[in-house]
Amino acid sequence: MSEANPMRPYLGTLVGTKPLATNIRLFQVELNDPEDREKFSVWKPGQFLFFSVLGVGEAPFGFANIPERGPVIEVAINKVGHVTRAIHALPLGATVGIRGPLGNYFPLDELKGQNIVVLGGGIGGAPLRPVIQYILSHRDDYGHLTIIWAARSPDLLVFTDEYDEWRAAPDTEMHVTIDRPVEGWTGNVGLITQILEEVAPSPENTTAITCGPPIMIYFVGKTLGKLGFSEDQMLTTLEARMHCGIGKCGRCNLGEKLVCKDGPVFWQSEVSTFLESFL
Amino acid sequence: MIEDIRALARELLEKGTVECVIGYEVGPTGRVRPAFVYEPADVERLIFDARCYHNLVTYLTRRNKPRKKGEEVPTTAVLVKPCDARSLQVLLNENQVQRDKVYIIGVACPGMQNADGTPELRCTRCDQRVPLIYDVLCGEPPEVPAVTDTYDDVERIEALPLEERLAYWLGELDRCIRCYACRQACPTCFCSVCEAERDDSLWVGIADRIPEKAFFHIIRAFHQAGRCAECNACEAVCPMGIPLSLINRKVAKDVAQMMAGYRAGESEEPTPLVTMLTGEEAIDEIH
Amino acid sequence: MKFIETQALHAWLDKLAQEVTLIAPTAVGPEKKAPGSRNPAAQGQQVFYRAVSDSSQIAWDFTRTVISAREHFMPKTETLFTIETGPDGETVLHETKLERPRVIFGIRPCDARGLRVLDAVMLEQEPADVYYAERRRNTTLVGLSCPQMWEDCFCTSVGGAPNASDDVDILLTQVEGGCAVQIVTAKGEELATGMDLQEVEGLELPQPKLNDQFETPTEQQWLASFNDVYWQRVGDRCLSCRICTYVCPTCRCFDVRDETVVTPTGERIVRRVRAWDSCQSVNYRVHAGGHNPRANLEQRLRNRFYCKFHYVPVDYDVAGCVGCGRCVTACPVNIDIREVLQDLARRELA
Repeated sequence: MSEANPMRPYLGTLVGTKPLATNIRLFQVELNDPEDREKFSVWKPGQFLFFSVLGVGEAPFGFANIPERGPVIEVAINKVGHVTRAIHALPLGATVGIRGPLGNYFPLDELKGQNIVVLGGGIGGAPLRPVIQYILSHRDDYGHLTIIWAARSPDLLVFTDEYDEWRAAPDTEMHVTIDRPVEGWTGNVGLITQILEEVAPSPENTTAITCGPPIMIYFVGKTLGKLGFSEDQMLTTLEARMHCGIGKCGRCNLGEKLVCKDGPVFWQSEVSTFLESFL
Repeated sequence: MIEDIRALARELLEKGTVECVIGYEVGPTGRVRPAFVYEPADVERLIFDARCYHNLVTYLTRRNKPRKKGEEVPTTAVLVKPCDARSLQVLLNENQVQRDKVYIIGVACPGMQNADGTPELRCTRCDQRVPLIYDVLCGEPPEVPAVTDTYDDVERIEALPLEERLAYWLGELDRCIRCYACRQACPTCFCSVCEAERDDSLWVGIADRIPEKAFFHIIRAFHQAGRCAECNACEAVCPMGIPLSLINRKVAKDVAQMMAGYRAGESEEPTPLVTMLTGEEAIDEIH
Repeated sequence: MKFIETQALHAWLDKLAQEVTLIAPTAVGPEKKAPGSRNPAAQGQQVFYRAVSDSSQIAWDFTRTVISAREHFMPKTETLFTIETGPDGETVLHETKLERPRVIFGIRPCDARGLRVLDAVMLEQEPADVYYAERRRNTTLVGLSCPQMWEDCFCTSVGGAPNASDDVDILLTQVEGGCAVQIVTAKGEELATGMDLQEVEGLELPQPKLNDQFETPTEQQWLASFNDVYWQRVGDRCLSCRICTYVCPTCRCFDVRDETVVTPTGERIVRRVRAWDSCQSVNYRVHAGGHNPRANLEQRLRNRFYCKFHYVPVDYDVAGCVGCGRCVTACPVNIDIREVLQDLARRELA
């Protein structure tokens, strides 16, 4: 039964890792079997995978890159639980397990010709990086790109070494903010919602894509609403505890939707009724 | 007696002394169950008789937290039998319940009965008919029977050869389905993350195997040492009918033997078997 | 109507037990535990579906088993694969072996109906779960009609019946001298070739005694009740234990972990294990970082009801509750699903 067993991970090797922020690192994995690599390299921005440290456990993470920037698989992982602690402790060359690609994805094809606002909070920026990468790789297909990046403090901002590249891209603006003033920080200070109100992107022919803690998604949604965005112009990607990623284990439901199968990408209109109970 | 309880409950609710009175009621199919009364008009639902075996103190730790951040902890009135009162004393000693947030309606206990009208075994061993702690006592204390708990049930098991004892317990614990009803019903099991449910399986894995199941129950028994008031809540809720009280009574017997007759919840000091962290070592929440 | 004599039925079961894994209702536990106790579980032996080696171990006069038959399709614990080291030090994942063919004898119609939900989630919703699929494929269901609806049963209020044949391969109904036999599926046909069946003309099936039927809430009532204080009031009583979900034929939630176990012979096995979990448990939804999106008890309690009566029907077009009544009987604080359904069904919509 091994061929089609969705609970069985592909074996891969940890080929690279680098620090992104305090307690957050980027991990690069290459699948061992060329056939697996082939099957796997079709993932889309917004999808996720299960990363196993075999013998310790597995946990879900959003892809942090697009296959075109691969073929290695990149994930950004915050050290918070026992699996992520084990991942952070892995030596280069370690054997790991990967299941996926799982879940739905950002409908970037449908959004062609539109302006895009990307709003990332903390490690919530990780699953948005493939969105930015994709738009930059297909720059002519999209209108104006606004990136608003936030974190509690400067040491929690992810992908800082890529901001120059993003800023330099054509028809692209980027705003970075931290929640509270910190010595030595000369950039924006204030919640992402405040910066969003200041930047005030026009809702016309625009879709906003948000990822961050649920409380941030909730309030960013409110602010976007104030700016004239309808719930059908707001995309978000949610995170939930889950154990299968394929709609079986029952754990990640948001009302009748399953984050793993019907998501993790949702239109705000699909989840707004339940978002409050998710906070 | 029930009229006294209802009148008191009505008064407490009308005056706003408490937000809620926790007592007992009869459900639609005739089963006695815990009742939560918020409105004075609803006090007629309350009953009290020999079927009211639930230990309602177990609901207090949950109510000792504000429902929303910044909100005040509401005051709750609770009906307690003598055994329940001892578990409440343990919680007060361990700062799990604030004394001024609980209004204790002590009931003079007639002793609980089984479904067939015979007295519950534990009640035939009990010499307390009036709770040691209460704000108001309802009912006339019945005569105190002159009984001493001889722990004959525990001694019967202790007398068995090791292999038989092991076989007995493994046989009983094998039926455990790890529903954790025993722990959830227990007033003195209140950790926010149980050692048996840690994500990393550090002490106990998740498998339905005898070693894991036995280890969970042993951990629980040890954590109840000097704290278990022998209210029988664990055994009463077990869907597999495992004699869980026997494990806790074994520990209680040993504690009493080692510590000059020490019984849980009879003094206002935390049990000497528990280490209390104070000052800088104190932690707000157990993880 | 086909009929099998009691003796012939026993002989067939005895033979069957040699050929396949025969699972049947069996009384388990010590004869007398705590007679008279208020805990129904402590009043004598309890009946479970267990593997038996001959027909004498079968409990014929059972009402319903304590745990539903789902434990034989989604075991309380199963090893998904073991994690081993190959000859060159490489990691090898070794999947569990297939089980031999099985017959579940004496499954009640409600338990069989419960498999509709598990099938919808585990099998029909892609990708299929291979472990469940294998067990389902490998198993033939021989149902046994309930002669009456037992205490707490309400199958007829949620679309079932104590003598429904829809979800089994063969249905037996006890009649004088033996059982009436209804062969329902091709799988059942094949299994029945080993039965010593007689054709009895005019054999009538007894009508089971039914419990009162009641109205269940409409879709609109469910949608209107989500944020109702009612859930707090029912939740007040709830202990957050897992009994209701563990006895349920349609609950399916599981946890997956990697664990190292040491066998009695001292062998260390590193395995990925899957075990039952429950949406009622306090930390069910807790994120690794500690955030609990379902920290309130009433949210968890409400989820169980919405899962059965709203989410499952909406997502899979199948009823999420079969009315077996186990959760009613087993709940230590008398949270009665029938009471909740009737309370909600009585509500006026604004």
